[in-house]
Amino acid sequence: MARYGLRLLYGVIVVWGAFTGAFFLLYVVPGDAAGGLTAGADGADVKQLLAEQRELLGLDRPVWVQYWDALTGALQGDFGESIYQRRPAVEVYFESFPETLKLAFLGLLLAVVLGVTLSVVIELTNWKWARELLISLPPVAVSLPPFLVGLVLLQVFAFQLHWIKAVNDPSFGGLLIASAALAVAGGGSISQLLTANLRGALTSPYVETARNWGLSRFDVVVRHALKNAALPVITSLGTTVGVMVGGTVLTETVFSRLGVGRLVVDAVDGRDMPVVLVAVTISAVIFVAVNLVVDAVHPLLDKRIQWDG
Amino acid sequence: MTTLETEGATEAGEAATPMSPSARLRRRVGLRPRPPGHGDRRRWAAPLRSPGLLAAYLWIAVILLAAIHPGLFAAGDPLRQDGSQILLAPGADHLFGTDDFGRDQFTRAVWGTRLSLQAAVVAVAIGLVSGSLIGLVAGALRGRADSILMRIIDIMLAVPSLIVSLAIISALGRGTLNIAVAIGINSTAGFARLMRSEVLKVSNAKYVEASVFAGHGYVRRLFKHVVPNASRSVLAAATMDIGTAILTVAALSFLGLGAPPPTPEWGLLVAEGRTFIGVQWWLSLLPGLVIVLTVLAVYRVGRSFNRGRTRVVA
Repeated sequence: MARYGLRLLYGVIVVWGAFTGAFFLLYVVPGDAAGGLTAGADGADVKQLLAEQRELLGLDRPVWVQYWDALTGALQGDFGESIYQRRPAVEVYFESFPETLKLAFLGLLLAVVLGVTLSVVIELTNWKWARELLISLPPVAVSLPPFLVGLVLLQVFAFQLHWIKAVNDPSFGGLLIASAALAVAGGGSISQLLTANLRGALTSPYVETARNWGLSRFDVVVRHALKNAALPVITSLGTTVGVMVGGTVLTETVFSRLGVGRLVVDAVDGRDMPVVLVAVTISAVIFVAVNLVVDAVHPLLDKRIQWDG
Repeated sequence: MTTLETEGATEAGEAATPMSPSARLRRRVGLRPRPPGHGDRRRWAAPLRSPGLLAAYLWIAVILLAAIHPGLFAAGDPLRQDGSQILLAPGADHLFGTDDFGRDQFTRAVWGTRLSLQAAVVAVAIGLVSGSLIGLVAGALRGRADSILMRIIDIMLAVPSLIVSLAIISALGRGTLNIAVAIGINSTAGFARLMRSEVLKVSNAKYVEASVFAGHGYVRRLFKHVVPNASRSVLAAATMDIGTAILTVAALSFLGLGAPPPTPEWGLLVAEGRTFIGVQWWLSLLPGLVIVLTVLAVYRVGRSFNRGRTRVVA
């Protein structure tokens, strides 16, 4: 358990590092929000206008003061106001966060279901050429750009079948198809990993024992081999979540859905520091939390793994 | 980046085939088994026995040729507009059809190859060099330096790569090569982790121990034994990463962060065709197909390099 506490501390350090890294990355990048606000203004007083805005936003203070303010504010849950929307950045972020969370969560779920099913079906297929065909699917799936999958699904389901609306379909069907676009690459990589692991597990002695008990092939694969083969896949889910978050931007663009992805692109573009910091902090917290959960689940799946080990 | 563990699978495969004396020796001194057909004539015949691998090599050759000399495949000018040939369907004259300015989409796809490939290779080179250096330092020094460097790597992995890319691109300005720099910086963490674990693994091998007993100094041991053996795995992983980089370059270009519109570039072609996806779907999907085939080929070749290795960055 002490080890778990240490991991928690590491997690806090990682979140702090992400916050700090994002702050200084955006700080050293030329241009600031005052430039974004005064964009398009011309004439002799542009320089004065810029200075005024800077003073108003507190951008004229020394960088350490700005950083300290941002950090202490963030610790109290106050990230400051979004520069363009003049509302608390947290409010702006959490307005579109549920949409993205739904998309990413459903995408991850579909990816796991598709990936695991495909791997099991590959193991259970006897017919040689059908098996070869199925084995070639995961590498193809990971080679498909997510935006292209999205476009194909959009063309088929919105323009050919008219099942969903092409622009920001609010129904569950729209969400499902958007998350399917997200799930293809994730499912492919899960299946690739799982197929390799299953093959290893199926040659190990305990599976041989299970076979000699007279268990059916389905039982051997699903109830015995799958559990052990799943372990590295669960570890990889930590990174898959990160891939999902990046993938939502593309999916949201293709399906014209409003979400965090678009918000972040605009915020970085306009140097809207509070919004960017909220986004980075939330993403880092998710990353750390997922990895902590993955670590906590390991000993439950494999009794040989223990915390103090 | 996802890591692909293939250890169990390869070990199971090896147990079935009888080991040659040299393979037994390699195992005894702690060397990794050579990939099948390594070091003899069969090595170069390997692609011939696998039609998929052969096709992958052929496609990569075609793509490289298109990148170096696009005029061979499409003699026309990728920017030439023709008002009388707007939004034509694919046909003998226009293999991929024409866009809303009457430009030939096939010519544009061919001429876009160079920029897309260049960006992917530059991205991997940046990630490979910087990541390997960090990983080597961490793995060679160990102790406190190692744990500090690895914490920094953890932080790099926790910040969404999209935000890092966006910040870097907004600092450097939009452009395909700036995308490459951003992707390279993002992939540094993965390469650093891989290099570190390889350095640690190789340092524990018996032949490195033997080098200690032979009286070799630390520097010689590091650069004659550890670095070459560790970097072999990392280089093999880098071939896979080129495929991933092609996808990411296309994705960021698709979001409009790459070269400005008239420039032919794969991701941008897909993005431009997006407006017409309802009717002239080929404008987006055919250049997209070129991306898919190229990534597929690079991954296939990468997998053949990575056979028998424990970890693959992809």
